[in-house]
Amino acid sequence: MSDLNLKSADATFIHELTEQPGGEKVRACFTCKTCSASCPITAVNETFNPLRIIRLALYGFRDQVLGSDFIWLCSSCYSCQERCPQGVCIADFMTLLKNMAVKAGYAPTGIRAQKNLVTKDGRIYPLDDFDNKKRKKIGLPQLPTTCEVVKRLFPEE
Amino acid sequence: MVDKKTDFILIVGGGIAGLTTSRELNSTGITALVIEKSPFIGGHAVNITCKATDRCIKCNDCLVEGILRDISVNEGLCIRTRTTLTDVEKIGNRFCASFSSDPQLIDPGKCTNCGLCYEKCPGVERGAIIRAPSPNIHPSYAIDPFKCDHCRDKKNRICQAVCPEHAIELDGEKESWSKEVDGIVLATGYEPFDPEEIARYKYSGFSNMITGMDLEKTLRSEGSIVRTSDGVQPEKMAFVQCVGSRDSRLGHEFCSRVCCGYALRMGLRLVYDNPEIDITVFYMDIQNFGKDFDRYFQEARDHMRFLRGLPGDFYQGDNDSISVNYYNEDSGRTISEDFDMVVLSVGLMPGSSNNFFAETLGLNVNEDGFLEIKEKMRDKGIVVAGTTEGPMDVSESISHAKRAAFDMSKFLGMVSK
Repeated sequence: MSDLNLKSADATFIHELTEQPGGEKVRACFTCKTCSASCPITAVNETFNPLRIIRLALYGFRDQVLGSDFIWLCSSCYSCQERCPQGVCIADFMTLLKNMAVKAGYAPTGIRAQKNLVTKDGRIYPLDDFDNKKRKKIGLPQLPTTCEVVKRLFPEE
Repeated sequence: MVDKKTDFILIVGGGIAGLTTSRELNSTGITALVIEKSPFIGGHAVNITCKATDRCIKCNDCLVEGILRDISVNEGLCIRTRTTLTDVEKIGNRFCASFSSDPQLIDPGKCTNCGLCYEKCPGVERGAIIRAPSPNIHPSYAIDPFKCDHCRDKKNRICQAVCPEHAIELDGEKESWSKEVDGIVLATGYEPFDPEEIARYKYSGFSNMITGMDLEKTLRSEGSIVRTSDGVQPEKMAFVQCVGSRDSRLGHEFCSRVCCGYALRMGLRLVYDNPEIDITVFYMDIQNFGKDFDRYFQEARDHMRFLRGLPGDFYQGDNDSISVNYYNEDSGRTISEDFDMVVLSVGLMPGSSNNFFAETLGLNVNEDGFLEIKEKMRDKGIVVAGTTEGPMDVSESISHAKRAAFDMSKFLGMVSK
């Protein structure tokens, strides 16, 4: 991340961001660093820093932001969003970046694996007969082991 | 030309702006009545400390004393404390103003400021008699009816008995009265931001977290600062800027203009008093107001640590210190550092009565909550002085008040239009 060249920046990136939910007010950031100071992830991992992600996005480093691992580290605790004096919806902005990253084909392998599980079983933690047996024992209703309807949410790639 | 003798101006607010306006109007022969809701005139400005080190650093806060001295020797001024404006009605070209006055209890005409009442009162500890923050305020003592033994349950009339001038009358009644005036000057001022509104500062949770206004008051009355928890001088202090200002979440998008100035100047004074002290300033932008501010900023940089970025969370540290979480540029992580004391540089917020005036007098409140006076309102005899119009420091308030007095005399036809 140390050698960034503004020549590789994409000036249209910020327009794209501000037109989508979550990115509307990102331009209002005046770098007071309240978000970074409040972030529980920044406290343990220096690669994640909401302020830096916003600055990178504002400068138009599309590939560096969407292709990075760090946007996936956000725990969506909303501390930053609650405290931002400029009312930037930082947590929503992170969600927007994640969605754009997936669209651009940057989703990390873990996220892909999760998506495959959800498509197949309708759940990240699949239910099987063993679970239903236990549910029956304590008098709970049976649950279907597959959830076909979820497949409709994920059209074939 | 209006007949001089009938000119009568009401000034709402006995702070530095209101007093300056009344002094200026008085010098041109216009009679003014100043009403003040608190027991003492002087407003917030009278609590502000001189920030001189080995030389004057031009905080301009001593100007207040000069004006109070002028007021105390000026016989033509009429000041009513403990009085609030309850209603204003427009009658022709004049206004009929209604007031509500709490009993004065101490007669300013008889009181000689001997201080016997204050010495003998059994309730001084809990604030039954309070002393004015400046010796130039007359009378220098006031009785708080809510804390006075006699006013509460008809016991103890010690102060009334000891007063050699018989100036104290504890059985006063609240009174309502009204008066016709030619013009109104609104000088109700500002209110300091209450840090309780921002939960993450946990202001009431820490005994060693104070506001900039508290520091001003303490430095003025005590001359030095000690920790509330153990009375020890702090060795490591932090100033947090922009508390309540420039925050769109709270609806305060404006800069309060004074906080950078007072934080830096008080910091320099603390460093001068105790060169061992370690001061850190958390800021987002240092705002330059005043022509030689930049010089103080350069000087302050040599003596204090400036960290760009506001802190996140505050936790209780060891030995009643406050542990501050902030983003550290070098490591790229959020780190936690202990401070003996934290000063929140609170901003100037619009006064609570602004909406009342907007409604009763048909004025505009701007998006920040301060009163806006259009040119045509000045022609109707309503002007605004000082921080009622927006955040400003003492010297700006004084010059703004002089302008208000000029506008008012123009309205009265004293100056050609």
